[in-house]
Amino acid sequence: MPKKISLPHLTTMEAILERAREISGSGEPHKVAVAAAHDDAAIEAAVKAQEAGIAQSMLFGDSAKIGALIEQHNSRPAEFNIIHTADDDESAERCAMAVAIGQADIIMKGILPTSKLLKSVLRQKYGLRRKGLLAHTAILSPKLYPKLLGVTDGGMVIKPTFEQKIDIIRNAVLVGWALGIERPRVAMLATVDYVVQAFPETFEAAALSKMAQREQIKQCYIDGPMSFDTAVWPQAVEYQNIKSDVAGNADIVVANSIEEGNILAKSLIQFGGASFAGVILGAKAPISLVSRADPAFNKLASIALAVVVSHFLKKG
Amino acid sequence: MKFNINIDEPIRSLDEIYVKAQESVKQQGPYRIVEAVAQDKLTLKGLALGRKQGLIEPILIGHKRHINEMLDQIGEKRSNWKIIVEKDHHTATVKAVKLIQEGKADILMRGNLLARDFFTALFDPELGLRKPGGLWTNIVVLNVYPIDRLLFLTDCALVVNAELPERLKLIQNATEFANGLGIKEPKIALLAAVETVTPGMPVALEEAIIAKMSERGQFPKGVSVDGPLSLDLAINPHAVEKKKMKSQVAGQADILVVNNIHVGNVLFKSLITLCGASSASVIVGAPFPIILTSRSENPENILYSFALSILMKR
Repeated sequence: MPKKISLPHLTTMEAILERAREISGSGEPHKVAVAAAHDDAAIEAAVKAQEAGIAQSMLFGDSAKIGALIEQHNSRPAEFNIIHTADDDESAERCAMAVAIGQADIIMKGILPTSKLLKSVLRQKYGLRRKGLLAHTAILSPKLYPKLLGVTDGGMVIKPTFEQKIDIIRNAVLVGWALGIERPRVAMLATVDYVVQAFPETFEAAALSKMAQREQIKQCYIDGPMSFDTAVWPQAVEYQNIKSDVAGNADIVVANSIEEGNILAKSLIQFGGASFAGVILGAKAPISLVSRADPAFNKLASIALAVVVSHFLKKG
Repeated sequence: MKFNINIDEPIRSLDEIYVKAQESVKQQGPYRIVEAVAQDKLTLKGLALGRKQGLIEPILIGHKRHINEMLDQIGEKRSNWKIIVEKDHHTATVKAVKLIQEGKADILMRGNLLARDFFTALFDPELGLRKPGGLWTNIVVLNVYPIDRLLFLTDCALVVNAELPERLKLIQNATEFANGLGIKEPKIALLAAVETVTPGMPVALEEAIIAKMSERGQFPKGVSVDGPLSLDLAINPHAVEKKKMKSQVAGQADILVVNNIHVGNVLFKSLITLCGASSASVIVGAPFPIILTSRSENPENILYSFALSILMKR
């Protein structure tokens, strides 16, 4: 990865959308390969992304259903690249293949189990696997925070070990770089701001902070243990009198369990007026999951985030 | 700790709790709050405000010089405050409890000491505060837009890992507590990252078991418990509609029960710092109300905690 990030720092969700438009508008548009695309949420996202000039798509799945869904979203099936596949397995395999041979840049899940899609993507023959595990990063825009906030991992890793936390951090930091942050500020969440024996995650947080100081985890600030208010709220930092490169100003917060990450992200969406974009990293191409319950804007934002990250992975 | 009053109509906001506490004070006079290790600026501000409103009468136990310096800093007259000198944190906490046991104070408040040290002192067998089989739990009462009722969140401060037996206690304490505030048939959501049950996720598995117990009528009448539920499905009726989920609780939860202190703490702090929530927070299960404020609360939130404790006590 480059030492010097000379990209614009994207501080709003709209800026991510704009940047994705810029990337896809200057040169070859980014392509999203959608597995089992006969899914309302996925088609809505694909149609919106194409209309907005953010990405084009390759839709693998039941072509009749896909066509009908595209029409439901007021668009024309002829404008899309639809590839009929017999079942989930075939659509997952062909989706992975499309990315492996460079026809597509981003993988998106339609209506099939996540595990099935990931199994195909991680098959040796496609060469999409990288060292380390797959982890989910959510980018959120809470109204009361002056920039974007990354939350990880509320979507993939159930209870990360120390080693897995390193991979989770590396993936999220990469998203941070893609958003133009030269040294992302990473807070290791805990209930307290000091190291206590009763909470083993405070040990891990302390060790990870030191690893970043020693450049074992590169080009980011890591600090912890840190409670959420210390991570994002300057008043708490003042009150605690903590000296830190991260406190009060975090770009990314790292949770200790999928429940912690997921519930935190959802609270910012439900109560903090935040929009949401999510991406899974760890393979050679970003993977995007959109949920039925996501508002259309968030689905679009997730694709835009994947475009921005994909572009960064390729071009730096 | 049960409420000694009968509130028929469900209380829907922290402001209503405040008004009810004011009514109570009008009849019975201010309640005496004793703060252990009181050299703490934020809680002193809260106590000063509470006294000004006529809700409480503070008693401070702690390091006299530090307390006096802080009183100066917040513009309070030293001579207006009753201070008991005790530098040692453990002894200060024990002394505070004894004051309550002797009937000289009503409500306990934590000052400038770690929660862990505070509870170690309180669980001293000599004080005899912990009953066998009982569990002390923390309950946060929240008002947060766009929810037009009180939300209860447990546990953010005390129960580190809530496995099945502790979760049942959390549910029991929170149910009794909500009942006391007039919410007679509380809907209880067991929070998780997902709403499906998978063997790889022990939290979701336990929640499914508890939900089944609720279906079989193993909880008091009127209480509905469901889980696993993600936060959006717990409180947002639109999300429930989109997912076409059938549940007595989903979309309308009153009580949110989390599986460990870290999840509770991060959710609480997110609501306070970035979601504009107001809150009150108490410990239940003890023989008297205990207030454990968080530094991310402002003095107004501390007032709500006073009001809540007053309703518990009266």
